[in-house]
Formats: sequence, structure tokens, C-alpha cells
Amino acid sequence: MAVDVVFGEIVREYFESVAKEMNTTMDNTALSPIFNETHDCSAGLFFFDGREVSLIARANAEPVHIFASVHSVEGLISYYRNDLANGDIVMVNDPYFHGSHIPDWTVMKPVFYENKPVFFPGIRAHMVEVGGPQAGGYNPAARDVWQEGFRLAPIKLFERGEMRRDYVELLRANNRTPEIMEGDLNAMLGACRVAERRVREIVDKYGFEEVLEAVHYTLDYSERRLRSEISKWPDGDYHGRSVLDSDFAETRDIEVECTIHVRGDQVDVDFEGSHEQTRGYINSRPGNSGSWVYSAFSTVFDDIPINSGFFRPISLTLPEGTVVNPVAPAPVGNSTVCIGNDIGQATVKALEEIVPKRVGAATLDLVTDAFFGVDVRQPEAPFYVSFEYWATPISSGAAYGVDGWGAWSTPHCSLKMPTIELTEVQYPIMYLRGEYTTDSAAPGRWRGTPALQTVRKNPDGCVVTHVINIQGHRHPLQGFAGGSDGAGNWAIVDWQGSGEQLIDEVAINYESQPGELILYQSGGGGAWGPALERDPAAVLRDVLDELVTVAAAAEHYGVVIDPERLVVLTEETAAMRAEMAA
Amino acid sequence: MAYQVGVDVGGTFTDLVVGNGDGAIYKTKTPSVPGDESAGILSGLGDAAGNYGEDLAGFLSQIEVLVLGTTAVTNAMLEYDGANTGLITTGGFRDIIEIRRSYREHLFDIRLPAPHAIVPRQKRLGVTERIDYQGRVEIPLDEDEVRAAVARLGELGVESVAVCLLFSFLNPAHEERVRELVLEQLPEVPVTLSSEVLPQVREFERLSTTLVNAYTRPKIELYFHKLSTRLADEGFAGELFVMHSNGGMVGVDYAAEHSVELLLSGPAGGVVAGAEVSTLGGYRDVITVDLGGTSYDVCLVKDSQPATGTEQWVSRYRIGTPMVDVHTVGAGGGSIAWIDDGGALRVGPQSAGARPGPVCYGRGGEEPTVTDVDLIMGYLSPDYFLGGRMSLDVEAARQAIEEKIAKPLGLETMEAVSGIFRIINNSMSNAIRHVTVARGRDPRDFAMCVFGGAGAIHAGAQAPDLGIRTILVPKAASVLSALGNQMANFKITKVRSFIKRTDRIELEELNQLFGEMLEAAEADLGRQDKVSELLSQRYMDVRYQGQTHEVTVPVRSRTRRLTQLNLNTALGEFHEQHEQLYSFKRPEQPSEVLNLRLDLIGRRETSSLRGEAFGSEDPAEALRGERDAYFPSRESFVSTPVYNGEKLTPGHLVVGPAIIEEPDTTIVVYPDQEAMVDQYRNYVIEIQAGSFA
Repeated sequence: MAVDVVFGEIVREYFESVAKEMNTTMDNTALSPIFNETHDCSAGLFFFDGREVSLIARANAEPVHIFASVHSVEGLISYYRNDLANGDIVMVNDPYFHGSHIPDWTVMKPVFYENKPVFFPGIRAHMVEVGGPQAGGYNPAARDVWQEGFRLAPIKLFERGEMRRDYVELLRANNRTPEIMEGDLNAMLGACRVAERRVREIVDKYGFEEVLEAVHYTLDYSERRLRSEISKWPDGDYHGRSVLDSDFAETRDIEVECTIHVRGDQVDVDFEGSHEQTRGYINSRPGNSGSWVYSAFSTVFDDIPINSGFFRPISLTLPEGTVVNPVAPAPVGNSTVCIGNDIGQATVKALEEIVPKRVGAATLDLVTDAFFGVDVRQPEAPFYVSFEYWATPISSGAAYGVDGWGAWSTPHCSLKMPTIELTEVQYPIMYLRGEYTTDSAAPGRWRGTPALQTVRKNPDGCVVTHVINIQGHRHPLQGFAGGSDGAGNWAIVDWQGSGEQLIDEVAINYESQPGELILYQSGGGGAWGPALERDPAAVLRDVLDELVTVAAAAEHYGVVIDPERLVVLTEETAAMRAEMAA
Repeated sequence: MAYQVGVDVGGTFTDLVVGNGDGAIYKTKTPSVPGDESAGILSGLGDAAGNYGEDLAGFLSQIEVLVLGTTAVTNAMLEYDGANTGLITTGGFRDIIEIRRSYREHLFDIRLPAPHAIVPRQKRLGVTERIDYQGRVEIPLDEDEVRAAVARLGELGVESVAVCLLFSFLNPAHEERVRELVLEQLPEVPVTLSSEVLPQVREFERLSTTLVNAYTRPKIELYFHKLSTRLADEGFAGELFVMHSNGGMVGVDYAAEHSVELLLSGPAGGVVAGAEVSTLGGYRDVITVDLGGTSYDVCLVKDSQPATGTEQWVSRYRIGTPMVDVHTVGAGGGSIAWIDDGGALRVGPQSAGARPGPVCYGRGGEEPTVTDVDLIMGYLSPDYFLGGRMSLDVEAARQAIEEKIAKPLGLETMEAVSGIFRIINNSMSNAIRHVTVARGRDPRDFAMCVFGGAGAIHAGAQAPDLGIRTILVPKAASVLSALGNQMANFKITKVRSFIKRTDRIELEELNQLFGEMLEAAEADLGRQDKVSELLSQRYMDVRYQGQTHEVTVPVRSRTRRLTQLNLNTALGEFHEQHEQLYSFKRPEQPSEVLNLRLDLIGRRETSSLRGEAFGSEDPAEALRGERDAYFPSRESFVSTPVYNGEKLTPGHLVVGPAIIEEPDTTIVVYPDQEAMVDQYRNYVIEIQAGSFA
């Protein structure tokens, strides 16, 4: 027993440090800003006991990837079965082969013990460019999966330690920026190799059987903790819903319905009643759908180590043919956020009925602008593809006791915003604004995060092509326990110009001209609790900080502030709040 | 007689080391006085004066150099009692510090509050201006807006102003003009420019560093002023210097203006002395570890040079200035053992601190800690703690472990005790792996240099686990930071942004930039008559084009100017280092430089430690007695000899299992280990390969 408790803890910590190290390797060596500045990738260490695949450790990285990658590793193992050898490195991206969307590549390296593949360090990374009809991998016009990019069924990139040059050439041939792709792929392979070395070190030191026992201890431990928490919940059925603006293909107001059936120490998360799959590219494969459910649960139990033991008490019901489990060949490209967010949000809303004080903004909605063009500032005028992260970063919001702050919400905050300066060095852009806006934070007892408005300008001689996707314009991020919803998202192209135009859904291959301005708004997450319950001193602080106007303080919060002296008028406030409450 | 003094002011103790050129040092430890650092310093100086048979004034008048290591900057950030600070920034970007590039310290905790706003939004004002990515003025500075912003900050009573404009690291003209305009209206207010604090690309990192400097600067200026005055009043006629986070010392005026550069002023001294003492002992590659009450600080030393890094955070603010790369984890003597909801035994990161402290202190602590475990295992003496100034309650410690840990887990008491011991050792070993394995280094190639009160209790148990075969415990282990301050050299660090593909570097331009940096560093160093030798070290931050994380490679030359061969050698080293760190290199791919770095080091004559001749191997004369100690490898208590460290002399060999007691340090020599006292009276512990503690 003593050995279990102590040694289990030692092995758990060790494997988590291995996952961290994989992530660091990836961050520090990849070539694309999407990894090295933004960290849209994740590392995990997986384990196969001959029957099932378990995640044993993960790094602080985008959770939507890592939960889904369990699914991909399962797919790879079942596909190769007895055909894996020492030195192999395999990869897959096909959404209909245990993937989520084509840009997410999963690379993993089996580590053998006793002639069996047992441990699998794996990296899942969002590649900026994946071939297909649309540079940047987001094709709102796609009506089937083949129109979304180059689809990779499982392949062995390395066979017994030897690189399959033919496959690498195939990948290069199907990519607009092959040098960068290969650099990023190298970073992924490097991370897997680093992890293998570390796994071998601990097994050499303590012995294979001992480490296996500790792995089981670790998984059982997380399971036990989650079950003990769930068993405190009253049995029952709890409901939440979330609505997606559109599928970018004329289907609008797409509902995701979630019912959490609590029975003893386990739950079934059931999406019966959700919208049927649609023509547009928002349909979510099961790996992705499950990821969003698990992410939502992780925010409620933030101190339980995340591994497959954590998933065991949670079963999923994903009706086939709906947006949460589409049938091939439905397009899926944008589902990792658009519908993914709604799956997560519907789950959080259902959890709100059970544990209101433990929920808050924990998802993200979307303004993507995948932009590309030629950098005429440089002598060789290279072609580039990138994402405008400054268009979309604010999704954090309030929770019980805490105002919204920062940018991306927990648990998506492992994504990092690129800096203005390095982005301008790397791409032909000039930013004129990137700032919170007044009266945009969702009012509530604890308010949401203010919306961010960003203005970018094309330098002289630069024409840029944009694929802009907007969600959360009509259905912004939701508030909790009576708090208001977030401010919502939109973009205006040719802002202050003759062709000024609001984009509230989609713009495909829009060409911005030299000198043109584009304005984006990324609305924050919702508030927690009724605005009339907010501490007047906190409202005043927001007024002094120019986040809330004196007029809005009265209108939304019922707090009357003397506009000259900037002090709260206590009696007037009490009277106004009484009136508003009635 | 000319004395050289090193002082390290910590939260609990003020340590002081004095050298007088004869190779011997005097060390003393006095309690710190919260709120009045000079009280602890003067009391230590009083002790030293007595030791040399002088009165305080007489002693102070003979001090040539006093080098101070201080945690004042860190404390200002921990307690948020810095200045009322304002920011002037590029219009449209006043929230960069709050948006924070989306950094959050916990991935899943939705109730994590925002960091404390050291400069709230109402005092962050934007002004119209813009410099582009090549340093050209795109929008001229609107001076009327600046004047209005300054007037507003004046109304808000700011005591310090930070200025951070986009791309100021390429063209500081606008920032410099803003400073002039601030001083027109607020002539007494210190102004911190981002282009001077950290002239590097990435506005968030530069801004955060600039704000912390502006926020802490007035307080630090006042502190140094008071201290200098107080010392002078008492008769001090020498020069006061301050330990810089880069491991060198700087003048007190420079230090006050660059307060953010003093964040690691305290720990840096220990690393410097650890590197120096190890080098003297013949070990140039070491990992320094400092185990205190609440934290475990680890730093890698390669070729006698402490690693430097630029990735520190303090109180949730990012600091980008280069510092000794100390990695800290929350593990220490005060770390509390507890059982979580899932029935797992955990140790730390919560700490009982000095008050109430461990159970055995008898000051009301109820939670069992690592110190309690060390006591129960017999490593600490109940009667000789802190040189006998404090006695420890073993029975209370044992009861706490039994009730809070052993019984709930269904374990025997000693199973629980050794479990806690293993877990804390493992956390500390992971910190060592973080600075070695995770950076492409093998810990087996390093010795450990251990200090801090309890470091040498645990090191012998950790080393076999890491494959480390040698542990060094400096004689001055309990005051090592003060020793490092006493022996420090001058060091000025300069960083400059230089974004260029490596195949397009003009040697002429590179030499000119390094030349300018050297001149600036020389100006900061000022005229120093204490400097016996000046040397500069140059580095470049290089990466493959597209990467955003750089590898810092040295640029060596035999002359002041770099040759093409020097440059090519440095670039070649980049690929090798990249492979070592990340398991691959791509020499065929374009690479680029991002920053130039320069260290200007001014060596000074310090009283170097003098070796003594070896005597007999037999340490019997230092034997104090025996007590039962529990060794995990034996799974039982063993009657263990205890030696008085003050009586051990060079050449003595102590064979494990054994315990050596220094006044403020305990050293455990485990079975299959041997401790030898070297010619400087440092302990060199050799570990038998394949053993475990």
C-alpha cells in the first residue's frame, strides 16, 4: 500500500513532466506562429494495455486536441494492430478515421516493452496549411469532406526508424507551404522522440511491471475522485442548450441540446434532440464532441488530474446523423470551434443546474480570419498564410466571485496571442488598435470580460485575401445564474471606406486593398449573477477605468453615479435598484 | 586593514560575510527586522566588528566594499506596495497588460482572479503616434495629447511614470520625447522608458518589465538612500554595491534606476558562490540547489558560468530582463504533508513557513511538515537546531504524522514518514530534471552544490535517483548568498534587438552595434577603481526562420572586432545547440538573429579563499556522539555517528551512514557514501554508483 500511494504519485508527476517537455519542444522548435506563438497544439502520453487506450498524462495545452487524440490513438492502434514495430512513427488526420478535422494532425510513436507497443507519446497539432481548395484549411464552401483538405488515412511516416521519403514528398506535394509544413512536422517528431527517451528512463529505473502498476494507480485515482464528486449530486436529469448562429451555408439557429443523466456515481451526457447534420462545415465527429464535454467537466473539477480515469464515469450519447455525430461525408472543418463551442456550452449550462457556483465561461466562440497573400515587402515576395488571432481572442467571462479578465477562457487559455510587433515583422499588416471597448462587458454581479476591438490596415502595395467566419453574433456566449450574455462578434471590412460592409456570418475570399482598414470585435464571455446584485463600488471602479459609462452604470446596474464628482449616490442607487427589481 | 563585506537580507535572517584579504572569512547570521532592513545589517556588522576587536564605527570606516543582496523588489511585488504609477502608451493599445497574451496560470480554474493591477486602467493612457516595423515614423507623436495625458496623471497623483510605445526598441525618439514632456510638468517623477529597460521586440514582455520597474523604483531608491545615509552616519566610508539578478554587482545608483533587474538579487549570490566554490574544488559543471523553508531554487552552472534566462515571472508579471536562471519550486522544510480527496499522499506546495512553522517548533503548527519528517528520521538533532538556539519536539511531530497521515492511510508511522521523505525528494529531483533533461543536459554529467539549511539532508537521498555521483556542500552553506555577494564581480548586461537573416548580416553593422552596446555598458559601469580586469562577452539569439524561440549562442573573438570566421563559428554552434536541446537541426534552412546580447564583466580583487594542508583521515576527534537515524535503504533505524563540523579539518573522511552538524546546516552522509573535507573545508560527498539512499 505504501508503495502504491507514494510511488503512484512519483510516476504521475514524472509522466506529467514528460508531457510538458514534449510541449516545450514543440513550442520552441516549430516554425509556424500557430504553434510557437499561439500554442495550438498539445502533447499527451498514452498507454495501451492490450484492450483499451488510456491517456496517462497531458500538458497544459489546448484540451480540445488532447481529449480527441485518445480517439485518434485508438484508431491508429486498432488499424495497425500487430503491424507496429520499434522505430515506427505513425500519423493520421482523417475526420472519418478517428480524427476531428483535417488540419489537426496526430503523430505518435509506439514505445515497445516485451515486444508489445505499450506507451505512445503523441502530438496533435493544428497545421496552418493542409492543401485542398482553400489556403489555410478553412473552406466555408465545402459541402463534403474532400473539399476541406488533403485527407490522410493512417500512414507510417517512419518504418523501423527509417523515414518514408515517399510519404513526406506526398505531404509536401499537397501543401502550399511545404518547407514550413516539414519544419513543423520535424518539431512534432522531435517531441515524440524526446518523450520516448524519458519513458525509457523511468522504466529502466523502476522496472516495467512497477511502472505499469503505478499507471493503473494514477488512472484509478482520477476515476475515484470524480466518482466521489458525482455521487454527491442528486440523481436526476439536467438540461442545457446552446444555439449556433449558422453553418455558413444557410442553415441558421442550429440547436445543441444536452441532458446530463446523473445516476449514482456516474453520468451520461446525452445529446438527443440536437439538430440534424447540416450541409455546412460545422458537423462534429465523436472525438471532437467528447472533447468539449470532457473540457467542460474539467473546469468544474479543476484539481483532479486529467487522464482517462477521469473519463470513465462519463458516458456519451451522440445520436448518429446529428451535428454531434455526422455521417460521412459531411464536412466538418470548423466544428472544432463552431458547434464544438455549443456542445461545450450546452454541457456547462446543464452543469449549471447541478453546481451553479462552479460554472462560468469555459468555451470560446469565433471570429476567424484566415488570410493569405504575397509579402511584397520582402525581395523574394514569399506566399504566406496565417490566422488573425487578434480578431477572436476574448472568450473569458465571469465565474462566481470573479469578474471576467484576460483573453481566452479557461480551459482554452493555453492558446497564446501573437504579439503585435512580431506579427508586423512577419506579415504585411499594421495594427491601429487592439483594446477593450467601453460598455461591452456583460453586466452581472460579476461582469464578463470586455469586448476587444482590433483595427488592422494593409500597408502600401499589399492586397490580402480573407476567409472570414463569424459566430456568436446573434447567439453570443451565455451568462450564468442570471448574468447577461457577452457582447457578441462581428467584423467590418473597408471600415470607414466607401465599401464599408458588416460581416456577421461569412466572407469567402474577400480581397482587402492597400490602405484598407478592417475592424473586428471579439465579444467576451457572459456574466455570473444578476447585475442588480453587483457591488456599487465595483461598478464605480469600472466607471473610473472607463470600462462602463455613467449612463450604463444606471441602465444596467441601477447604480447612480454623480458624473462630476464620480462617486456613488447611495440613496438614489437604492431607489433605482428597488424600482428596477420591481 | 581593508574589509570586504557581503550581505544577504532575507525574510528571516540577515547573513553577513566578511573577508579581509588573508583568505579567511568571518560569517554571521542575525534575525532580520521586518520593515527595517538596516537594523539587521547593522547588527550583523556589529557582530563582525566584535570579531575583529573593533568598535562599530572603527570597523565601518575600514570597509572598502559592501555588496548587498536584497529581496526588497520581490517584496514590493509580493505585497503590492510599490508607487502610484502611470503609463503612457501607443493610442489604441492601453490594455495589452490586461489582455496578457492570454496567459492564465491555471488551465482549468475558472475562478482564478485577474492579477493585481499595479497600474489600473484609469492610469494607462494612450497617445497618438506610431513607429513601424522598420523603425520609421508612421504617425508623428501628438505632443498636445502627451501634455494632456501627463496633466491627467498628475491629477491622479502618480509618483512614477512608465512609457512603452510600439517598436520603440527600433526607434526610441518618441519615448524620449515623452519623457521630456513628462518632466516639464512633473520634474520630480522618475520616468522609465521601455526602450531603455528592455529594448527588445514583443510589446507585452517589454511593457510588463517596464511597468514593474516603474512601480518598484521609487521605493527602492528610497530604501538605498536611507541605507546609505544610515551606514554613513555610523561611520561607513566605503562603497555600497548591489547584487544584480545577472550574478554581478552594480553601483547603487544604477541599481535604483533599474530596480526590475534586482528581482533575483538574493538568490543570485548563492549561485555565484556555488559556482565559485565548486570551481575551486575542481568541479566546473554543477547544479546549485538551495533548500529553504518554503522554496527550492535550482540553477545550472556549466563551465563555471551560471545559466541565464529571460523567462521569469514575479507576482504574475512577466520579466524579460536576463537573469541568473534560477528555477524555483514550492518545496521546502515547511512544506506540508496532506491527504487529498482521492486518498493520495501529497507534500506541498502549501508551507507552514516560519510561523507557525513545523509541528516540532512548538509554535502552534499542527500540520506535519518536511522538517518534522527530517527530525523523526533522526537527521535533525532535537537539541542542536540552529546551533542549539532552538530545541525541537520530536514527540509532537510523530503524533501529528501518525494522526494526520499514517492512520487515515492505514500505514505504519515510519512508512508514512519515509513516504513523505520520498515524495518531497522526488519533487525536488523533478526540479533538477527541469533544468537539465528538459534542456538537453544529462544530470549525470553534473555535481550538485548544495546549500540552505536543509539542502544537505536531502541531497544525498536525491543524488542516486538522478545518477549524480558527487555532492559539494560549501563550508559557508548557511550564508552562501552573502559569500557570493562578498566575492562578486561587476557585471552589466545589455540587450539589443537586431532582426536579420543570418546570411544577410553585414559584419560592419554587427561590429558597430556590439561596439555601441559595449560603450553603453561601460558608461553604466562608470569609473570603477576597484576593477582589475575588464572583459566583455557577446552573444546572439538565433532561431530558424519562422521559429519564435531563440537559442542564445556565444560569439567569441580574440579581438574587439568580430571576424567572418568568428561569426560563422557562432552560427555553426547554433545548429549544434539546437540539436542538443530539441533533438534535431536543419542547417540547410534559413536562420535569423533576433537579439544581440553583451555582458561587460569587471573583475575585482577579492579575498580569494586560501587552501589548507591535509591532515589525518581519521575524524574521531570531531565525533560528537551517536543517535538513531532511519535510512530508507535499510528500512530501519541505525545507530549513526554524529560529527561536529566545526572540528572537522581538511583531509578528514567521514564514511556513511553518518551525520555532520554545522551550526546552521546538517549534512547527512547516507550508506554507500563518503564525505571528504577538502582544503577549503568544503565537503565533497562521493556516492557509490548504483546505490540508493
